[in-house]
Amino acid sequence: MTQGVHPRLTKGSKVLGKWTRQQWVVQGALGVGANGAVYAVRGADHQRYAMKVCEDAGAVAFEWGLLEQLSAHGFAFPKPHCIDDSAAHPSLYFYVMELVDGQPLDVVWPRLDAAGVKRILLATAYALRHLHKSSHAFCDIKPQNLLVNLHENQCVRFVDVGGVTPFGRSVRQFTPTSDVAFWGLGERRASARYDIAALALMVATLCETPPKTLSQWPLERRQAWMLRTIRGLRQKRLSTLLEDAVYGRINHADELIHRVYDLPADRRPVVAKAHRQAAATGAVASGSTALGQQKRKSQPRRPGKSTAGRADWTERLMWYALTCAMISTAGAWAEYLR
Amino acid sequence: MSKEAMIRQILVITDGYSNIGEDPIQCASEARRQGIVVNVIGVVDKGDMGVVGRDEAMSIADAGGGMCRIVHPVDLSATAQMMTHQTMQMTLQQVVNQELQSVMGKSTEELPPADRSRVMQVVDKLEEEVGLHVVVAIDTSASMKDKIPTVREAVRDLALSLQVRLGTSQVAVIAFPGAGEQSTKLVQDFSDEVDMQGLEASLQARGGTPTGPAIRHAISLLKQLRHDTSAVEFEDGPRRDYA
Repeated sequence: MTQGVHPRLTKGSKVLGKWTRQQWVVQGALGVGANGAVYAVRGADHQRYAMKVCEDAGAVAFEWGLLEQLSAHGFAFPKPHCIDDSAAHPSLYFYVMELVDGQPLDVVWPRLDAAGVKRILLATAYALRHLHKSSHAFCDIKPQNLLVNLHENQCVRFVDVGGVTPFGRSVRQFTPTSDVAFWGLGERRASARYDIAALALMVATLCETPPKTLSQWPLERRQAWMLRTIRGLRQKRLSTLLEDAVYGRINHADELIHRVYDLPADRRPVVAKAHRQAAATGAVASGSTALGQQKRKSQPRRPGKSTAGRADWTERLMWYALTCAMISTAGAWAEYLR
Repeated sequence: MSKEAMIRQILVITDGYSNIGEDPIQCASEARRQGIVVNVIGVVDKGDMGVVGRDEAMSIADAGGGMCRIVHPVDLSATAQMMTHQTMQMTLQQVVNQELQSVMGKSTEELPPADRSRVMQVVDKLEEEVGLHVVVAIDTSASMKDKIPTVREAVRDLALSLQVRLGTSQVAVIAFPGAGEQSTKLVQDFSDEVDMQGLEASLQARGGTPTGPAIRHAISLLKQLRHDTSAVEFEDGPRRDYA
């Protein structure tokens, strides 16, 4: 079987549900991946939703079942709305869910300071704790599957439910660089520990983009690269946290939450400057092909390191001039009043 | 359905078209008749596989009832696992579909989506519990030289994924061409883990591409295993193979 391309839904096309007779108007594509496409749609109630479309009725039905099951445990995943088949298009199966607002983590990452990283890690750890309570692991933890909206209270949401696996079962969907087995540091079995290690590996690969040839390297060399990256971080408490997680020494999301609370929350970046640059360019390259990519707003760029240095110098000059002016005015007044 | 049910697959990893021995497409249809699914991954790096290679890869997969993907070395490992998983699911879905047809006169697609979702949860559970035998046939012709380290890692990675399944999983590895005049050779017989030293020693790139004989060899390995295991499990009651 070779997977055919399903008729791409274009903006304005209408999808009529065969079973519910509801109509959806497509507003644009949010992402296309190997196992289907996600579109932004508007329902008859004028609300906006996300629609996952696939040619494989089984895959759609399976993901839907997972979403429904998980909606009882926390709100990390999009809320399921309804499942249906298209009445007009042949073999177009879909389900409709909440449209999650936010940007993929790799887009947000280069602009984050230590406080932002702490906030995001904490939100992710809490979301994982909720999920783990249902005895499921997320498994496919990658920047494109974590949508960040720093204006929301719950600032990290999970998309792509396809990888979610009951504890104890083999992991079916993963991203190699976030997978402990790929690094030779553990087995590929769904557990709380697997997720926590995956989160740590993801953070490490966000801090420094792995070399292209990584998958050809033997295990020892991969491990050495990972260890060097983690230990090279500016924030020592973050390095030890990541190292413990990657080596499977953090077994429970509660413990992860405790450890994240201990991280410093200052305004400095967590990566040294040279690394930061590399990470930023890598993130942009992978971000443009991101699957779960939602609308990307153009954000005003915060001043980089070099402009910050110049600002310091002019600021100092300004204060110097002001002080001189005040002293001379005070002197003049003193002279006048004497 | 019980845990002793078996799914059998052949995974061909190649970078070109066959030029020695019998027609691989015929061998793949032969496999399919025996209830064995044939998947093909074409690995390309700088250049392309060429139209001939690409067409042949697709035709082998079509004839073998499996999937075909042309990928860069970076994606090899993930693709091997995705294909194994998806084709297992396909096989099981076919079985479930047949059962549904005979019991209810409906296929999965004709069920309301909510019921479909329940059926899929059953398929998913079966997939984790069913036994799996995979033969990985690796093209070691001269042009594969630079890609062999990646292929080796991908095979190891596939075995890692299969090891943690609840059902039994056995992987065998053959290389084509074999040593000397042999068209294929057995690198590793069925086992639940991959012997990396063995792979390193015996995957040497040289010679032409006897894809057909490799598929033939894989079929005979799977058939042999079937006889052996049915003899062992005979006391547990009749075995059931998905064809």
